[in-house]
Amino acid sequence: MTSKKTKSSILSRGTLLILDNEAIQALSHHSHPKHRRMLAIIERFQSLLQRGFQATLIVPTTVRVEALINRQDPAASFVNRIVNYDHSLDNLTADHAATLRQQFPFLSVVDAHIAALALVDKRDIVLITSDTDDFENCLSSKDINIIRI
Amino acid sequence: MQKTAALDRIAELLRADQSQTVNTSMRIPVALRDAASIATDELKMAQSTTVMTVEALRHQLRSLLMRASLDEHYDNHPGSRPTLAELAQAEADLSNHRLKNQSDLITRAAQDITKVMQHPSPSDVLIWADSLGFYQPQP
Repeated sequence: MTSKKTKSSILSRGTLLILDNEAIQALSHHSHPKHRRMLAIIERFQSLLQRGFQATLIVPTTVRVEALINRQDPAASFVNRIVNYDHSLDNLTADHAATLRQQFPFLSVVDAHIAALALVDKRDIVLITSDTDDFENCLSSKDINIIRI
Repeated sequence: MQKTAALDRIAELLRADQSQTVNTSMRIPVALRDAASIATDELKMAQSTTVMTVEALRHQLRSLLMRASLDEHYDNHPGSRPTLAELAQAEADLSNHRLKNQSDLITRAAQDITKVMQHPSPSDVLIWADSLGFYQPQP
């Protein structure tokens, strides 16, 4: 029996995978308790790329600041190879993030950036996060696959 | 160039400014060129053969870079290699599989399937888990 694939399944074409603070930290540090869990996700992501699926892995720049990840640091070499794209907080996303923080005061600036990106981007969104409850709450208007790290 | 330095350089180049371009000659099969020409000129399915080629090359490089980086990482940190059950769980999460919240069932399936199948994939585990769930006595 096959499983039901929702719109935000990464198996659809044109998907954006967003990492939050804990996800990128788990990927960066091999001693992190969720490092292997994160690598399992990256393994399956790589397998999809290999099969030709158009999927992009992205980390918002504010997440990198919170996670203390400087791409120029030699210690960031592994993350630099796996995560090829940043998302900078542009005007449009900043406006959405500000509105989200008005509506959901529990959101931090970093989380608001993630949520705004998820709302603005036209691709199917998969979000890897430790704050599933907060994101399910503020992103309920859009069909997003929110995965707990 | 050593492998590690080469991988870092590829990552750097993939992140670099892509607006500078260069002409290059590339030998490709005539039939492939003609098929691409129909897709772009007649069917307007893509902007140009060049755009399609560049996108495909970038995509393939990202995939190869990720594969090589993961393999090098496992060489340096063997304990970080995910288990079959962990890979199957990740597959279930990413694909929104209906068993994604039944990690015990996925773990059991990952253990069971290796008794009857050599080198099962994470997808094989999920099919096995589905059948385990199907034949499980209902309370």
